[in-house]
Amino acid sequence: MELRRRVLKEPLSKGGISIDLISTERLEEMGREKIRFILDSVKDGKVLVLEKGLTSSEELELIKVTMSEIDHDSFIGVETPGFTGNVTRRTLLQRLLRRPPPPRMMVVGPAHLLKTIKKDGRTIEAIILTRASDEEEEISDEIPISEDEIEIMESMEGAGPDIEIPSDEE
Amino acid sequence: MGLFDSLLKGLLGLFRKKQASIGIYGPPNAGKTTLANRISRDWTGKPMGKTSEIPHETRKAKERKEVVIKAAGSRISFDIVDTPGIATKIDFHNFVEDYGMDEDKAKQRAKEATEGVIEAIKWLDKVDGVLLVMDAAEDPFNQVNVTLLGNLEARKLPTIIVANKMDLDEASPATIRDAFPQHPTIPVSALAGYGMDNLYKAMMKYFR
Repeated sequence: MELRRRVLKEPLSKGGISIDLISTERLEEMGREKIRFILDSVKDGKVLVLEKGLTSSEELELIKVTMSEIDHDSFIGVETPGFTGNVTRRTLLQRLLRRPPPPRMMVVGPAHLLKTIKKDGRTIEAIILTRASDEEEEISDEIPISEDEIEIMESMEGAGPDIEIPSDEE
Repeated sequence: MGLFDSLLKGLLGLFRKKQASIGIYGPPNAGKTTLANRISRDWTGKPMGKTSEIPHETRKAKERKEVVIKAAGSRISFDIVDTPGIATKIDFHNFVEDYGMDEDKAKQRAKEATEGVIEAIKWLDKVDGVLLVMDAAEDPFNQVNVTLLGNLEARKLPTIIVANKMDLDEASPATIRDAFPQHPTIPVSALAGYGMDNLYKAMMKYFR
C-alpha cells in the first residue's frame, strides 16, 4: 500500500495530532448531535477514539454528511477503522431476535492523516501520518560540516605522522 | 363496489406482484457496473453504463426497468439499479496522480462522486433487495462493506454478496464467505461471465 500524506490546511495540527478518547456517556449525551460533533472534530484535524462506536445507520449518516462537506483544499473525508457493526459474528440470541450487534470501539479521523493498513475481524492496524513522517525521507545520513570544521580539516592536511610504507621493491 | 368487482380486484392483485427493485451496491471499483452490464446484456441485450479503471466512473444511479430473468425453472421481472460506489473519502489528487487526469476534470469528478455517494445511500430506501459486490481479490473487511452489510441487515433487505473478479489469480471468494457467513456468497466474474448462472439462481431464491 502506498501511503501519501496529503498536505491540507490543518487548524490544530501544528504541534502534533490531537487524539481524543470519547466515553460512551459523552457520546450518548449528544444524541442526534453526535454526527455533527464527530465531523467537526475530524475537520479540526483531530482523531477520535469512540469507546462505543456508531451503529451502522449512524455510520451511513456520517458518510452522507461527510460527502456533503468534502472540500478539495481542507477536507477529503473520513477514515473510520473500527469493529462497529460487526456483522461477521452474532450471538444466537441476536440471530433469533434478528437484532444488529451493538456498536463497538471505533476510531474516526481525517482521511489525509489516518490510514487503515490492515483489518480483519479481530485486529485493526492503522497509522497516523504526521509531518515528521514526511520529513523522514528528506533526512540524509550525511552530517553537515561547518566552515570552521572545514578550516580545521584543511590545516590538518599533511600534518599526520610520517610513516614510511615499505615498498615491495626493496 | 359490487361483489364481482371485489373478486376481480382480488384476482388481479394475485397476479400483479410488485416489481422488485434490486440495487447493486459496493465500494468503488468492485465491478458494480460491469455486473449491471452483464445482467442487462444477458436479459435485455443492452448494457447499462460505462465502465472504467478510474474509480467513481458511475456517479449517478442508473435504473433498467423490467429485466426479466429466467432461471431454476422460474421467471421474474426485476428493476435493476446500478448505484455509484460508496466511499468514506474522495480526493481529487488521486485522479490526477494515479490516472493523469486534468486537475479541473479531477475536481469535477470528485464533486460528482460525492453527490453520487449520497444518491446511492438514498436509494437504499427504495430497493427491495441488494446485490452487494465485493472485489474477491481485496480485503473483504473494508469499512464500506461492513457498514453497508450492517445497514442492509438493520433494514432486513435480502442480500446476496457477489464475490466478483474471480478470474483474477489472487481472488479468494472463500475469504468473503468466511468473513460474512450469514449471507449467501456467489463467486462470479462479471467481466468474463463466470458464475452468472449461479447468481441468477440465487436471485430467484432470495429475491422472490
